[in-house]
Amino acid sequence: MAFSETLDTGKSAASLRSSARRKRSQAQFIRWLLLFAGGIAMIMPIVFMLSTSFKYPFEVYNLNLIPEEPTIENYTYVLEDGRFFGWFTNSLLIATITTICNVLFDSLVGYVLCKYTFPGRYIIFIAILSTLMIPTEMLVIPWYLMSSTFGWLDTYWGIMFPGLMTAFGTFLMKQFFETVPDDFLEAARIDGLNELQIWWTVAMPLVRPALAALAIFVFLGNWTASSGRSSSPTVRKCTPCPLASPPSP
Amino acid sequence: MTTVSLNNLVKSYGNTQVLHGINLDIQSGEFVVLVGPSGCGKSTTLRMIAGLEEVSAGDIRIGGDVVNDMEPKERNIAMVFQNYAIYPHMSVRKNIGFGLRTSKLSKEEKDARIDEVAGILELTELLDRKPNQLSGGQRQRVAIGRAMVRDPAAFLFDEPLSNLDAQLRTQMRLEIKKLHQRVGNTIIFVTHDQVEAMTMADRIVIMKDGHIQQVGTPFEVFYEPANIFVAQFIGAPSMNMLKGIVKGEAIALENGTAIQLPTAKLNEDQKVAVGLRPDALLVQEGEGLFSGEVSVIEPLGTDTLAYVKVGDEEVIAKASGRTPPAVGDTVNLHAAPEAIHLFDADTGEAIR
Ligand SMILES: Nc1ncnc2c1ncn2[C@@H]1O[C@H](COP(=O)(O)OP(=O)(O)OP(=O)(O)O)[C@@H](O)[C@H]1O
Ligand SMILES: [Mg+2]
Repeated sequence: MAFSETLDTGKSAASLRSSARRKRSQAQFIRWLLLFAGGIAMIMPIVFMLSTSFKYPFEVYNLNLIPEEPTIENYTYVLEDGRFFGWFTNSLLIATITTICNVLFDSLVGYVLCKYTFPGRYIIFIAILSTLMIPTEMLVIPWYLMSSTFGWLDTYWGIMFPGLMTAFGTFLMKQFFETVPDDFLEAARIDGLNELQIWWTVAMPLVRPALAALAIFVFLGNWTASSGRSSSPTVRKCTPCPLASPPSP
Repeated sequence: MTTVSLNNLVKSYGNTQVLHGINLDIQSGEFVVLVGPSGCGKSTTLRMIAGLEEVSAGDIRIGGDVVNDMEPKERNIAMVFQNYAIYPHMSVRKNIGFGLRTSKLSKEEKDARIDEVAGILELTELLDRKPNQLSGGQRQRVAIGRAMVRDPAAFLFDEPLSNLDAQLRTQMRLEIKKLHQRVGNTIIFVTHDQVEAMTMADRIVIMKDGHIQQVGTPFEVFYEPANIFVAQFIGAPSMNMLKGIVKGEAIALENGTAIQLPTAKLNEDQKVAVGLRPDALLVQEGEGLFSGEVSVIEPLGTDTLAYVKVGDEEVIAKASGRTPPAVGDTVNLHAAPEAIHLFDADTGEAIR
């Protein structure tokens, strides 16, 4: 701090310092307060979800946090039914595989679009971006038809294939690779690594934060949002976690 | 140990040609410095030698073999970049060892080499640190270590010292020079700092706008500059350049004075430029080349630089540090005949 560097000696410097410290701690307090309020606002919906899970349907629209008649029937109902485990594994499997594929493919394509120059690179990038403008709803029927043509109905593959790569992820990774200096890649090239090794050992570790963000987006997106892709009327064994409807008591 | 030679090397980006036929032969074990103003094509030349840029025309030979179409790794060269290019996610040991990833040595041999290099560069204590825990000079040494560990045929440096502060730069300059004396590999070093070039090079290559202006030892480029550009680029402060016309036995300068010179090699009425290094243009008593009024003085300790108005031109001259002239004084300026450089004013070439 500038204060501690002033040439003032003795009392005046000390009092300056302590008043500065007081001012700083006030600012700190206000900051904590705001963060605390924000934290409460974020956690409340989750607390309500949790408390609702112990309520009977008649109480669901009550705002009390502690259920009047707490019950674990919701849990026993879901667990006894057995299908839940199937759905849960499906969700886990689909979300995990899709996440891994997305992280790999999006970053590979983003890397190539960012770090290599070749004819048509800009057009390809624009083409990939423009797919973001097509609403998912419009794609559901073509996906379904494709799945059925390929014999993928009611298979994991049928649910996963539309999501193995995303335009958004590609864009995100391309932007992040812009921050990796070309010197890093060229140094590795001179040291004798091939292009795939450079991507994997040099570029990927440097964009780890982006990879983590992308992985979270994709995982959450695929945990529940397979609805569009699994719209096959024959869905049975490959259904992911549905938005469960509460059991009637 | 390897020779590197560039033969009519040309580089174009689209329709713009940025290197216009570079010819250069570098001996095995030589320390060559490429120097020139920004944008003159130094980095481009170096990157072509490294194999990072394609050759548009001409060829590059390393150890006698044409390497134009070889991958960088096949050329057995190592490069140190301006921002070091050491990887933030790897320890110093990993960074130095990175150059050995593709080598066939066993793990023990690799470790031994890393330790040896770390020892030479005084990095042994730091091997387990991450780059962000190092100072600028230490990072620089890691980058050099990474290049050394492969024992390459030649080292390429692209302005490796420009991110360091002045003191550290002087120190690293010396360390690199010592390193060269110790390992003896061919070094090609790019800088835009003429002091770096003078102090480190066996030979200096001065470039401008994609052309080589002169290749020579530090002595040659300083005392026998090939043209006006080299004369003014090397040496600080820059060489005074006075325009004139040959008239009989003398050169009539535009500043209104005339200097007597042997004009045997000159033609009557030829336009010339007379070059005088500030170091060799001395403020002294008695009749000199010309005289003028001191407009500014810059004390440097041992010497004082005097900015002297001669006619309507200003020249920089050297005066004593102990008894400097005062601003407003009229002083006489002297130069030894061998310290006077003559150039053709139209072509810029030196007249010898
Ligand atoms: N990728 C490129 N496309 C087009 N022109 C380029 C490209 N790279 C470099 N140039 C041009 O080539 C010329 C030489 O560039 P170079 O990087 O070799 O200069 P330099 O001598 O290293 O300069 P500096 O001291 O600033 O690093 C410059 O005029 C530059 O604009
Ligand atoms: Mg450069």
